[in-house]
Amino acid sequence: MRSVGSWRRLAVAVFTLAVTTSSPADVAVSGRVLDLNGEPLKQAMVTVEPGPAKVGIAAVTVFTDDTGAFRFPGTIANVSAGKLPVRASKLGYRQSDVLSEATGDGVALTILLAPSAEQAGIAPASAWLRQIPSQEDTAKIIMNCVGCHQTPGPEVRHYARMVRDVPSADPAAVRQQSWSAMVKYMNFLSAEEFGRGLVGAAPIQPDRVYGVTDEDAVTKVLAKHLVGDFQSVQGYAWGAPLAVNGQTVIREYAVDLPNNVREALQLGDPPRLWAADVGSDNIVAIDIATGRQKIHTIPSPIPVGPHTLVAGQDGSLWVAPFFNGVVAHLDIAKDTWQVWPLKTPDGKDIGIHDLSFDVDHELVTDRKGRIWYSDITNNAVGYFDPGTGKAEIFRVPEHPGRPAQSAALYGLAVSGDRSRLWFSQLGIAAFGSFNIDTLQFETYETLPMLDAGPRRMAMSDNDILYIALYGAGQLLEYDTRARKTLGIYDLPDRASAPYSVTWDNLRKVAWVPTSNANVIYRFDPQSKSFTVLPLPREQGFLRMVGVDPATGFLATSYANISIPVHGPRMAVLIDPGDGVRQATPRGTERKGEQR
Amino acid sequence: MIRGFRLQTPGVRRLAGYRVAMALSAMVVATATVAAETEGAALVQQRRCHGCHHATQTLLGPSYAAIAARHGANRATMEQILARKIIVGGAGNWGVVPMVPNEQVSDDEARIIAKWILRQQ
Repeated sequence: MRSVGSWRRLAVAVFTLAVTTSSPADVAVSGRVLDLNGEPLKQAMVTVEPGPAKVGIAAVTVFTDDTGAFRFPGTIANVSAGKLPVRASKLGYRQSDVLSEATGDGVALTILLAPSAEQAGIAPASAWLRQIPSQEDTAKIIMNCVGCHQTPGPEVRHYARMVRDVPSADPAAVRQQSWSAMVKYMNFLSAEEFGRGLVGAAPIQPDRVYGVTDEDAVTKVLAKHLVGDFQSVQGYAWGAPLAVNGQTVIREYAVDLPNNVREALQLGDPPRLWAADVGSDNIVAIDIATGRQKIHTIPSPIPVGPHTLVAGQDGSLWVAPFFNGVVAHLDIAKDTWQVWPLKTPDGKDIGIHDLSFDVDHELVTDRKGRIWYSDITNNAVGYFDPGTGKAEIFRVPEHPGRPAQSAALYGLAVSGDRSRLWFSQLGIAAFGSFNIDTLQFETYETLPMLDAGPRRMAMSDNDILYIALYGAGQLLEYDTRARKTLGIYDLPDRASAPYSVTWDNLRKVAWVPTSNANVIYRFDPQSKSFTVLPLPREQGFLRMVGVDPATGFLATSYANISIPVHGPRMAVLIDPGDGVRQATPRGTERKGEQR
Repeated sequence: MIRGFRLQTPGVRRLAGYRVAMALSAMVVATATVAAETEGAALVQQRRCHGCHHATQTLLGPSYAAIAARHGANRATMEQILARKIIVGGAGNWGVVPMVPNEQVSDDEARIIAKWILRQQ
């Protein structure tokens, strides 16, 4: 539940360290992280954040190796006034001290961490939520609240404290009234936010997608569980081994406010991160090396609200909108746009969410050259022909026993032979397939928990479908050829709210970014096990992960919804540090007859 | 830009300066009052106050008219208190439900909104 209130960031203390240089300079930074017995701490996170950057590289993060050593790549540029803001963190520890020693071209640090049971500021919002014993209750909160903001994020915890502090002989009644009011207020904000996309047309029904439809049930769960002062959290564990090493590097790029960064991916030479700003018609191109940015505005006759980004197989960029029918394509080398404002043949509006993509998460057409999409507004799949602009949609039949008003078609994936679309229906815990040749819906599967929350999906090179289950905190693995579920795996943190899953065709693993736990999970289909890639930022609300084939880097974003929510809106580039990459850059690889 | 998506911050400082200058003339004071009225009403919409408050009806929070009726006699003091309450939120005056904090509202904007509310009798 989002509140727009003040809150106190319980971040890891930032030690501002005087280094030997007194004027701004480029400084090489290395060092070790030790406990108070002088023992090395491996896989500790070390971040240098020169200052509150409006634009550019906001922070660089590395991790310690088995000997506790770390080294930042290159130099930290232009450290101001001889100060080096560095922080180290590791679950179960608090930063105690930072010692420095000048080296030839910079500084060697010894960062001391002291054991600490208190994890506030280090553990994610999910650390509180996972204490709820009932997964049904957890799922209800995730599906109704975390879709827009971490819960309980700092604003929610602050409001929970305000509710607790109301003098009353009946605190339970105060909680009931207060969270009821909050749910109504959030529905108001949601309706404002999501009801705006279609210009000059009938507004969509926001309740169908992101509103709280069952106010009483959600209020009851919130009033029951959001009790206490939320100042302290203990006992959180990642739940699986960390997927980081001494070569892992995370770069976070600030985008000038106001922005509403949604998704980001890596494209181009020189390599750039391309971030969609859903609050405008802008795509922000960020030079990875320098952090310099260029805004590319989509020349659309109606507002787009760029939401979904998909790389073209030729290295171009495809953009899908926010609850309307505008698809845009950018030739990034020529800086030229093509825009398709789509409607159905009978003039109906389309609410595109996902575009059809292949095993490398690059745009793929069907065998007739048509691009397919999920239509969240009409609970449909559809196509458009980029040559003619013709579009058509096919509505999913109602499913008995599932509430029709909640059935919004959300995620999309395409079979390797391009004969079938697979889709998810977020609000009714269903997924299924559509035959592109016969234009008929075929398979239809439902999950037992209505709040399971199947979101963005991915298809492996063996036609294994992966679905992130947002509310259930699980990953579903489904064999689309045999039409059977291979497994439903609990994530290491079931309150993590996995937004999506990306098939990594280089590593043959699935990446699962989370909205509520500041981590990306890595799923190995061979061992059916997870490892954890932690992100260095509180309220790191993740959505998609893209894999750049040339570098093996992961691109993602912190994508908090809407201006009233505090928390970062950044593009993020991750070198997992495993050296996996391929020799052929995107756009030069031949893919036979895929397009 | 998508209509109604970004919260537009009006030129509050520019407007305040404008109003000071205009106060030199009684005629223009009237103009400024109209401007302040417009500004206050616009801010109430832009800052989404109308999600919880209505001109005359109790919604999640008290109506503007009720607030003005209770505090109109003590306008000078209550302008400051109300402006602060808008930003930090809190409960205690109108029931047990705490008002959400609104940190995205600036001090200047909160003062304009508070003044506007206290005129809504």
